[in-house]
Amino acid sequence: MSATENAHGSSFVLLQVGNNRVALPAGLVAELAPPVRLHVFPHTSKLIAGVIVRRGRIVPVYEAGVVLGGRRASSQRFYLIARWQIGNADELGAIPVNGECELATGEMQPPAMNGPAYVAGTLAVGEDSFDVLNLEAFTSICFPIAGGSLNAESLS
Amino acid sequence: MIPDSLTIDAARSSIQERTTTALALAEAHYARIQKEDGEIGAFLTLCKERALAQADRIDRMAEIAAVYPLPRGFTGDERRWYRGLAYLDDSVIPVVEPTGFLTPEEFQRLDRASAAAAFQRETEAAVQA
Repeated sequence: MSATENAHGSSFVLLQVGNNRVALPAGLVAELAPPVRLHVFPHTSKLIAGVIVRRGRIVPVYEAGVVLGGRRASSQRFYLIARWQIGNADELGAIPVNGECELATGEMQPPAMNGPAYVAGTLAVGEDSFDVLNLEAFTSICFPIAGGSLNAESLS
Repeated sequence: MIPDSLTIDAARSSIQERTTTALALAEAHYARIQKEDGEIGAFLTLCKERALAQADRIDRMAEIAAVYPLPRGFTGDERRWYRGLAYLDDSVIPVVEPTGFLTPEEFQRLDRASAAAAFQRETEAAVQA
């Protein structure tokens, strides 16, 4: 289920990634995990910090903070594990989050015309407004696309 | 008891097929050394503890039950480098794909260079003899 498809739902998880507070459709969230050991090994994939092991599964950790704020999370408190759609398959991925996560309800509004591709829309909660992440667009940042590749700079 | 004709290849196969363990092989070899080296005197020093520790590591490597596919998020050259990921002793270990680093042609060149070097060493040894 993509963020856009989930727009009909009204539950979102608000999470702190670096200096940014953003939202993710609750239906995509699998788990909020404690800061377990990050396993690192040589690789060349962009924005992947390493992998964690959660419930017997090996889950890649994506440096969402680099995309959102241009810096890696220095002291994350949790890993938010969400279902990512990569190609035709669903896979779990983790985002380091460094603050409280909370559940919020509201209607997602369309994104701004010139907004970055990783923003699926805007969620208004009270007087605050949060960008709703589009994980599919995130994956296009992290993963080169055939015929060209997107990077964080080109989408921000 | 270890057979006299046990080769390195046969030892590796035995461990892989789980008909024996590296630890059992190491202990058997040390027992044989203790029994026979008094007459032969082939060994100057022995480090049994280190050998047994190494054998134990080999056994743990042989215990890798499953190689998990590399998550799809990894899309770079590492997809060629690794067959997948193993989880052992609370560590995630990438399982290397040997052909991911060298092409078949490069392997052939390496084999040829290795054979040429071996031939040169043998020739030099024969000349010196």
